[in-house]
Amino acid sequence: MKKFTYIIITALILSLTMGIASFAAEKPVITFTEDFKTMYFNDYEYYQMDLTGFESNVSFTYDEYYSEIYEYDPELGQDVLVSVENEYYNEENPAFANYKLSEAQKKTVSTIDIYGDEIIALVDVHFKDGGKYSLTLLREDYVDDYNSLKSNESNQYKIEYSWPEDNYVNATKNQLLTGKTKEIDPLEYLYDYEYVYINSEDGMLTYTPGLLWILDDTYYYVSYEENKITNEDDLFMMDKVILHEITDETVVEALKVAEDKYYADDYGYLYDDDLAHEISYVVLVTIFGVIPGFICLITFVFAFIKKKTYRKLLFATSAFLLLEIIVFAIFMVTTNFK
Amino acid sequence: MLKKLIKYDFKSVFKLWWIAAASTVALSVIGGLIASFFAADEFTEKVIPIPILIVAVIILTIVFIGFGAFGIFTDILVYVRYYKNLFTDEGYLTFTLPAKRKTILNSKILLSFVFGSLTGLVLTINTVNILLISCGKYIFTKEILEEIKYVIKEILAYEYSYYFAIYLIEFIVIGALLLLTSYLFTFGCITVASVIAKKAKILVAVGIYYGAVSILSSILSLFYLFGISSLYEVFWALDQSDVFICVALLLVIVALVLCATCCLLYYLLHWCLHKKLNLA
Repeated sequence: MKKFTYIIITALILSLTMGIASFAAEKPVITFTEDFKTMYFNDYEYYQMDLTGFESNVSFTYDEYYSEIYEYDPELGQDVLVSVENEYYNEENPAFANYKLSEAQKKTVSTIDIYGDEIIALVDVHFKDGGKYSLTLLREDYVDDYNSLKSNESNQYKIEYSWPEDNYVNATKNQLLTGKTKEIDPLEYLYDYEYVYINSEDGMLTYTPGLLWILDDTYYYVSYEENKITNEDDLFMMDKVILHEITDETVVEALKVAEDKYYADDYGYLYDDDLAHEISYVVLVTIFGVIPGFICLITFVFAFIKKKTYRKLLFATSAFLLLEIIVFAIFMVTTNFK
Repeated sequence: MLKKLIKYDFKSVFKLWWIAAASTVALSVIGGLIASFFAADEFTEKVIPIPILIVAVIILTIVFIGFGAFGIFTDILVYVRYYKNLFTDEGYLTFTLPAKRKTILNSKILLSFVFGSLTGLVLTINTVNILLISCGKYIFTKEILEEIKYVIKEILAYEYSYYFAIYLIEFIVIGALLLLTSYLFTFGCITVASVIAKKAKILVAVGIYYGAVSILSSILSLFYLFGISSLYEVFWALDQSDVFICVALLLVIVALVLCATCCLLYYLLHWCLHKKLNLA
């Protein structure tokens, strides 16, 4: 018993010491140049870049709370996105919570919010006079990747259908931008679009130059640059976007094949839609029809064998179950024949 | 005779229950006052120091544990009353009363249902209490009340709004049936244990209860695994108007299954008490 007590006390002291040590451990400090256009963190320099369409593939080190608010539009007969709420909690990412300002910066700046990950940092500088300065910064060793992704016009864009894996179509910028243009309200055609993107060589940086929009069985391309879209959320806040009809036959054919493959594969279910429905009906009929029916029959038979008191109870049970089966039959008729 | 039995059962449980209920109401007032720190932190510019918030979290946790304990305490009171009154020495006296076994059983079931509902009511009042004391003044502003009015108007103007009233009724009925089923189920475990065991009846009852709950939860998880995904498949293809009626029908099915379960459990209880119980 004594030994056991010693072990417990030692474990407690150890865990306490480790807790205090980790709390007291020095956190990396973020500093900026006077104009905030360069950030220093973890022995890396981060430079200000226009990161429209860029995304890093580092798994998030902070929690992102994101919600979309839809409202029902009776004219369209569907829900439409009216606003997107984004909340980042940079205190969830202790690495980004520890910044240091110069004496000159302290005079004008009240707080700084830094979001992002090890490659891309999003910085909001809040000034004491109420002003705000937002900038996007990229880690120095990814600047070459950034330049090559942004400038290489002949680069193969990938148009991605998310399932099955590797179901994408290659196309060049020219192939996507040559057709005639058209303007639409993006909220009216909210759902039918796919991402167009290029990955850096190591796969850590992704550039999304635009989207593939499917409208009336025709493929269109939406360029982020042309529409001055900074991210996907902006798209649905815009009144109009310019679409380029994709006329290149090779691309159109490849897109049709990819689309067929995407829908035929049934989002990765192990069985196809019809089989899924059949299995579902069998399961439901067993749970709500066969099992209660069996118990109903047994209680009904027992009701005849048993004495008065039990008879009433057993009749009541079988009546409830019979009623349940009838309601379930109505349910199945309502769902099955529509 | 039922009235007299209920009166004595009620008295026996109420003399301890009201103290616990009053204590939780007092706890809810303390909880409300403590939660007002968080409300001030959330709704106003005031910054509450972290040590105060930590103490507040600890006190609030104790308050909510108190609420949970109150629910368990009510159940224990009802089960103890059932066990002592029927299966201990007291049972000899109970069964010599000029009352049918069915009447005695009905009295216990009614007692459990009434106290279960009362406990639910007290806990709801306590929660409302906490909300009103802590953030009532922030929530019930003119603008927010207007907003609530607007939302209610919108709901009422909605084409299928009457379904919400139907769902509400169905949920209340299902809630009541669930409460009844759970009490009947536990009474069933106690009764079966008292019938089959000569010693350590409570231990056997607990064993039966956990055994039965494990089996039932395995069956329910199977239903969850296959049934819910099957329902999803069925509902996926429906029109909006049909979804409303199908949900209403589904809730009726659940209510009817619960009714049948209650009847079967009652049958089991009655049969055990009538045919199998031998206190001698």
